Amino acid sequence: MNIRKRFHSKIWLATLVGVLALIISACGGGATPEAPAATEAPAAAAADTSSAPAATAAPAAPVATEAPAAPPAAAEVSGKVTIMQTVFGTEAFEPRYTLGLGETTYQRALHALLVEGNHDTQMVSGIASAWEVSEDGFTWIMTIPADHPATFHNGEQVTINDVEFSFQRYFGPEAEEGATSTGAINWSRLTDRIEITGPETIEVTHNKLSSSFPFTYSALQSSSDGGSILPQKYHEEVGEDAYADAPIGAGPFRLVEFKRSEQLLFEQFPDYYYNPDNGYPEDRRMKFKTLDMRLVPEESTRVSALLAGEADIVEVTLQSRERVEAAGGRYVWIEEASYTQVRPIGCWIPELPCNDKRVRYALDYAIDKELIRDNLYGGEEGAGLAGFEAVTPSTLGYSPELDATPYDPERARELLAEAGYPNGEGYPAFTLYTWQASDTPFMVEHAELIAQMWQDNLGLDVTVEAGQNVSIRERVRNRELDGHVYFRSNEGRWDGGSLVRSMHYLDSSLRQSEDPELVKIADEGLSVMDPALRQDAYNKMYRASWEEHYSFSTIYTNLPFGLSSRINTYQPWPLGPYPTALWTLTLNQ
Amino acid sequence: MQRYILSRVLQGIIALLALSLIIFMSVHLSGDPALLLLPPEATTADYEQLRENLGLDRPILIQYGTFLLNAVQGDFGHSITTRRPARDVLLERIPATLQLAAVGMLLAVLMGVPLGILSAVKRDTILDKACKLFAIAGIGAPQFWVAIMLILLFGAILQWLPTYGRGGPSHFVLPAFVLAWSIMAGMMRLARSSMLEVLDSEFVKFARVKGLTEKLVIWKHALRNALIPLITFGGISLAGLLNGAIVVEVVFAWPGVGRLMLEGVAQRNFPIVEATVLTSGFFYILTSLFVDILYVYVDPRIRIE
Repeated sequence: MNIRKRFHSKIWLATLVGVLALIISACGGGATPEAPAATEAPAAAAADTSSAPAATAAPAAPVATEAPAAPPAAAEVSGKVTIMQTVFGTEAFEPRYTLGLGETTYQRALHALLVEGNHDTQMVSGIASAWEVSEDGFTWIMTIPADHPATFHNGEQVTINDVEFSFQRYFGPEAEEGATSTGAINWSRLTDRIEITGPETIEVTHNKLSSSFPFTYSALQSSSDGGSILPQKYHEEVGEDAYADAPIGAGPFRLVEFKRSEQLLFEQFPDYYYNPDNGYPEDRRMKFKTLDMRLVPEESTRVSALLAGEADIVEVTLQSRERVEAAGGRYVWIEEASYTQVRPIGCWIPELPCNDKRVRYALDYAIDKELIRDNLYGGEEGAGLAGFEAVTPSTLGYSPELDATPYDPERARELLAEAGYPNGEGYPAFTLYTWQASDTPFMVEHAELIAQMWQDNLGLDVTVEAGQNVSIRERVRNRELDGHVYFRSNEGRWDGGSLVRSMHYLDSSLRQSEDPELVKIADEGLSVMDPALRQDAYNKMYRASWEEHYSFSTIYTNLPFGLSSRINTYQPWPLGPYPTALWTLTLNQ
Repeated sequence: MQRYILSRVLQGIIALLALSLIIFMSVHLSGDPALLLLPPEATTADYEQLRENLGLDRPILIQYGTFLLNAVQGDFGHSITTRRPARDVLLERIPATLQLAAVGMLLAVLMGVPLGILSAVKRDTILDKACKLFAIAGIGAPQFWVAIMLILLFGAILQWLPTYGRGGPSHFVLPAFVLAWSIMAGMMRLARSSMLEVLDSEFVKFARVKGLTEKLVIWKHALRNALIPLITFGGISLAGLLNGAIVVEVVFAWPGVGRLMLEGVAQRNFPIVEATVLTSGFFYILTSLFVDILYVYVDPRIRIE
């Protein structure tokens, strides 16, 4: 009996020890893995202002050339800013492996870009001091100063070879192989060759005129980072896989810790080149020491973290505003961050009602966009009506003629009657397809309001179906939804040239028309290489699309971010669905 | 016993094969991931190139055959979004899920079983009623809501506990409790009803008549007989926890398998979905086998034919 009792005691003891071990192991769950890429602080870059590239006007692009302010000494900074995102995307630091799912925030932190931008959506000197296009328009020539002050986080200088290496990996003829970024795949096909043609000159030759090329490698492009400069020597030394785990760049932050799907921890790079000491018009070195990026998918958790002082910048919707402001925080808006589009499908088919332009206009006139803006998006602060789809007020090619049509139900009814559908009679029932979008809130509610207005104002029989982005697009591609309408959103961008291709080019998977005249106008618009003429060329191209009304927008939206009370100043740029211009952020003392 | 285990293992393998076929086909039939990855301005040529890059241009049966052959070797292909081996991505997430599941299960057992027994022993007292209320709330309150409320109260307002993420011991408190509450409630109710049934049985009455102390009667004789349904319930619950708790992992930003599965589904990242679902199936089969074996140990009257 005693032996049995002792045996049982041992079992219990062993179990207890096991349980304790489990708890201890569990509690150590957050043990930080060994930090990859803990690169040594580079030696202070020799800032030779006499040889540094001035922010000179590039021949082929508008450049902001403000006189440099008195160069401040690189001060020791402190403080930590925690940003919470809903997605981390591919968690890749090479632009060719991104999908435009939130990678921009950390790629911009790590990498320096070939061409920078500014708050007024102008392209300014970055690693390239100038860029121009050849006489025939097919070759882009970029100047990379041999004594450029930019250094990578390991202290090595950025050279023209690094630029060529980076370009080959994103834009080069072989780049499409294995790439996941559509930008890389697309540009790779357009590129014939990339070569260094002089000690400070690199040339990219295309097989098609591509006026928007500088935009794609500039900081104004908010959905990809083709202009990121990778360190050739380091990349080749460690290999692609190791680089993915322990990347370095020449950007304003260096990565010190990387926990996949959890955290990206950056530290300010004090030798970031973009500062007045090097002749640049603004000091874009960070004013805080640590940037802690966290992946927190749930909004209520992000807001609670903000209130608890565990976060400083969080992605939010309007619903959280009261809570954020009650706790001393505030909202900041990225203007024109995304736009909406109503697109009748298959309108080139003669039997469909939307083949008649009057029907397309009637659908637009019947929508009370102000009501949608004010009731769903909190008024002018949260959304705007100006512009046409991606062509919002801060973008290339915008003019007030492109603004949304006014709400005019009478006119809408007249047009529909003229087209042969008085009070909607004879108009076949159709479905308005949409999905919950990550860049624009309330898409389903928005679609329901549109459908309700079409029913009330035009007598149409409309059903709203909120589905999956992929399955809807697949059905559009397979021509299963001709005669129906879909309603989508997309991120804002300064140069919407590539979107025009999707509207009208016959090889586009989601084309809206089969109108050769529009294709011709788009080709002409996209072929104008002189920056001084591009505004008008794009405007003409957009106006032709607006005129035909194969699609139209209801509103564009401004993207809100909740800021903690610790933040003193922050002035983000427009047109970027991520926290832009972090160097403008200062913390309260 | 050996034959029994062997037959269960074989059944498990067949179930995993069936699961692999179902999950592979359903993931592929639910939509083309290339379309999700492509922006609207993409051309047909972009689409074809991306499909080729992702290996989606091959016939589906060949894709399945390749997948199966590789899966038995632990190779689930590469994540469509990150291009990393799905196995590596999964293995990275498993520790977080295991830790949370272990703490959650421990909490559920350590609180649920004793409270259930107390409830049975002190039937119809205030304690019993309080336990009943606690159990009903645990089963009835949506996990999502409970999690948000607890974060708000203990994280944002009182600031006693962190609001999100994985870290030291304090990071486990809220997610583990939310995860454990419904299991705890189930265990409490099961322990109570099983104990009540056992306490009314003849052998317990006999033990009492023999003059054994109440403590001995309850904890040695009655409890062991009441454990069978608890083991079944605990096994199923544990399997569920090991497969990741999607709601808790999303709300608490916990980087576990459940969240990985959800991300995989949302992105049509089928190597990830297949890897997580098959691993889940494997855990279920393993746990149920373990539970069956445990029955024999707990109740020697049970003999497996």
